[in-house]
Amino acid sequence: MTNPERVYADPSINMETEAYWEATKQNKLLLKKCDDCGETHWYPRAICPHCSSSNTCWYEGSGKGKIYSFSVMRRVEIPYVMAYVTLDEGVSLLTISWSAISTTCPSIKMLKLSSVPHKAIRPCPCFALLHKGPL
Amino acid sequence: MSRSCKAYIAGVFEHPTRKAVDKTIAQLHAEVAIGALKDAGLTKDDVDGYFCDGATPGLGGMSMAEYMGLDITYTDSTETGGSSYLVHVGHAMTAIAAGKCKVALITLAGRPRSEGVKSLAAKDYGDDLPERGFEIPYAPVITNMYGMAAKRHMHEFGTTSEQLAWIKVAASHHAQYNENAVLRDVVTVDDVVNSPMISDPLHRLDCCVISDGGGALVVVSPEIAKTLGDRCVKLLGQGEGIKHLNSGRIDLTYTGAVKSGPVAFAEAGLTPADMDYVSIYDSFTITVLETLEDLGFCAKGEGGKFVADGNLISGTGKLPFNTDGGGLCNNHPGNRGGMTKVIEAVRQLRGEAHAKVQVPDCTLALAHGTGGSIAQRTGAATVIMGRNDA
Repeated sequence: MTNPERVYADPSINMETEAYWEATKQNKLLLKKCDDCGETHWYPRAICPHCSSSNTCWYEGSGKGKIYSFSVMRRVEIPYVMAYVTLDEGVSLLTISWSAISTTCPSIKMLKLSSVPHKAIRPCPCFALLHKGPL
Repeated sequence: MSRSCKAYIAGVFEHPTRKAVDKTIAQLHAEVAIGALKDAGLTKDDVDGYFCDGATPGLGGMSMAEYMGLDITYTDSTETGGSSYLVHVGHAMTAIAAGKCKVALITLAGRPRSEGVKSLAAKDYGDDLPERGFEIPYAPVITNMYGMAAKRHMHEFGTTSEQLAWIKVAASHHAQYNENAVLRDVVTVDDVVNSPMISDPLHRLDCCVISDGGGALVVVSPEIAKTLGDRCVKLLGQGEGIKHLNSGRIDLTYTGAVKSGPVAFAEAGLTPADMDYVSIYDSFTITVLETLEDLGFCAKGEGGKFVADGNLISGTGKLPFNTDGGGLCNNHPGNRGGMTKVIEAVRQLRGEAHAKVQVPDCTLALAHGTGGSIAQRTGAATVIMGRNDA
């Protein structure tokens, strides 16, 4: 499946998420972790949802993970594959994959930030197959 | 404080319209309120508590209280999507038990069909939504989010499209007797799995209808219930909760019913095996399957086998559900199906369901509502009720 000219909505960047969106311009996926409890959380917040500490910090994620689940939205002009990807860091994020369509849910290693959609106001992390695992 | 048997549902009303091109939302609220109060044998002047969802016109309940000419000393506009009305029932139980009000009116109205809503698109909650940037750019809509829940359930437990289809088949068997239902044709498992794929693995017939309309409930104190007679239904237990994405440690195979169910059963002192009838929120077939597991009607992962072969069909199966046809066939007013779940359970306990689907000697019933998206953040509420003599 190619990456069609889909329009991505404005993510409405705010002071909590500015660094994340700056990093996507360099094709980097930033995650947030808590310096006090050590846990990574998703989506990134100023306050740790695990221990309520405000000592949260950014770090660059591996960008690798597995598909947790996906669904091909067909009743639209440009069908797209909505997916939850569980990153190697242990958190799952909502994204779009352009290559999940013929696979089952798990055991697919994904590349990070495979595409920077042309019609996104800011680059949004999207994922594609790194290699096909056993189906 | 147990609230069991300290409040009763005295009146219910489901608006017969399914496309209200000639009515305003405020008007629909007033019409269902009048209908439920008439059903209870009360008037608007008896109402001292008013409950509505966050989509009701105006700020909380203020505009509608004014529009309907209510004199209110207690109000609650808790918003948990389609489960709001079952939350409201619980909050009315609490308020009545605490002496804060005696006659609580709960209303719902919406007209997405007249307004041209073609799908259950995610509502835009504005720039301040904290998860916004991490979800909205990818265009999550209700159907593909529930599709992902279904896909994961299939992956973990081997659930099949055919098993999910049985839920729609059962709903359609009931809807054929409901003259107000949007879809009255009985369908087969083949019809469901051969209907167009909307968002894998959900077909068109796995999805609920889009309809206008609304409904209302009147919850009263035991003293008032005594003056109104045997049609009052006793409120035995209620629970509610919110389930979300848990900071990224997600699990789409269960719903908020794991929180609301045990609380409701404990308050009622009952178990799933005691229920004669259940109304289960059915935005999609997968919603019903996961909820039945979460409420304990079968083990986690066994939902597919449980719903198959007509087990939810009244008169045939062991657990008759949604005998009005539910959201899958009858009505999903304002894209919010919790209200009608309570209404059909009350009809069953009164012996006023359609004769073809009435559960014989229906004594104990459960209604469950699901709000938001079970694959993102979702509200849940469970109400357990009994016949007046239960």
